[in-house]
Amino acid sequence: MATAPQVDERSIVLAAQDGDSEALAAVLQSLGERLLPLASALCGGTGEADALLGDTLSRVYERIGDLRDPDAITSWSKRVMVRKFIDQRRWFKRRPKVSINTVEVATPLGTTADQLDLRNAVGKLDRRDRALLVLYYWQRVPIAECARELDIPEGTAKSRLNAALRRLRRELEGSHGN
Amino acid sequence: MAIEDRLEELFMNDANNRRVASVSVPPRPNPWRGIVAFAGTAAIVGIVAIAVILALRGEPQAAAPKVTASPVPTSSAVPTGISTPVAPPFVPISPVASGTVTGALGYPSDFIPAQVIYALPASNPADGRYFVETELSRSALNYTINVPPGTYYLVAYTRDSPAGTTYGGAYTQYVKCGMVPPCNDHSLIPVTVTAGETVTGIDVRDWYDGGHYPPRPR
Repeated sequence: MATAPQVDERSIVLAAQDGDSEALAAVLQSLGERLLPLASALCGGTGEADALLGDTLSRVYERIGDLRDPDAITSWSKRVMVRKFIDQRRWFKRRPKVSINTVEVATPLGTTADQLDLRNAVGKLDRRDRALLVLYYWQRVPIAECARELDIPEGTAKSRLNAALRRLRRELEGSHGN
Repeated sequence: MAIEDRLEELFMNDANNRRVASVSVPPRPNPWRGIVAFAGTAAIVGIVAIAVILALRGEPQAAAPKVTASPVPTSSAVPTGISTPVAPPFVPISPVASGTVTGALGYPSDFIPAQVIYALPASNPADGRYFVETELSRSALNYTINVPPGTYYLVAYTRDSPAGTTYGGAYTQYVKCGMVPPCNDHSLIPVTVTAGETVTGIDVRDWYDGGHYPPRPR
């Protein structure tokens, strides 16, 4: 979450990189809370988000020493998560080291017919397109940055976004016509 | 409602439907790993040194082992230091300036999207006369809003969200309790402002209510 930076976050990350187990646990706890909304949005609010987040934090656990800029830990972790979400095969091959337990919270949407139709339509999209929609329409990431996150050219990101919207509209018209 | 707005609502809803209960972190790896890694690094350094010596002595280059120096293991996910221009902090356009409310903004992303922050009178939350607008920012952002004396709710909406939307961010009990479980109280906190007073620390950061805030004024 973009907020005023915590004064000691950098020092905690540095301590974690130096092998301080308590600092590492604190970093992972904090990242878990910050990244769960993204994992949940990517995974359509399902429990799959726990596995995605657990695997992402496992990667952070293993590679935190490689991070060159401690201030970039959130954006780095987010990028790891998006790429893991897209490459689902790699994600399920590994046994996560860090495990996450979450609790479900009641939300007002998701039960109306319109929302269920939209959720189903989004679920039929390619995972890269779903990630693009989440980043662009919910996280408000500019399209050029979306393209970098997804490792595709900017023009491709724009055309994929438009194609995904067209497909969603077609799906929704089809479901309303039934 | 446009499909883009419906998508935002859907993702916001999905994003808010889970909370972290616990994170289980295994103990640190065996220190022998570090020793083995050190030994490996020492071996590489030795090979490089031998290669350099052989090269200086005029031995054929082809005989020297090929070593690629890579001080930092690269990963496609390692941040590349992308910089984003810092947006102007805010554009105050409130008509009356009798008291002031200030605080930080937040959003569940690396970015803070362009927002409009309203001070909604507690007696009439549909009154949208007192607001400030912000531009997209990648860094921390504060807001300041001037209002007549009174009691207000501070609520933010993304600038392109439609009038009437109830999806937004706000200053709530959840902000006051640190925005971590088990706290789950998203009720708005009324902020009372008197003439000449500046009320600080009214952080509009709770975007996790899932659509229960007052509708965005028209």
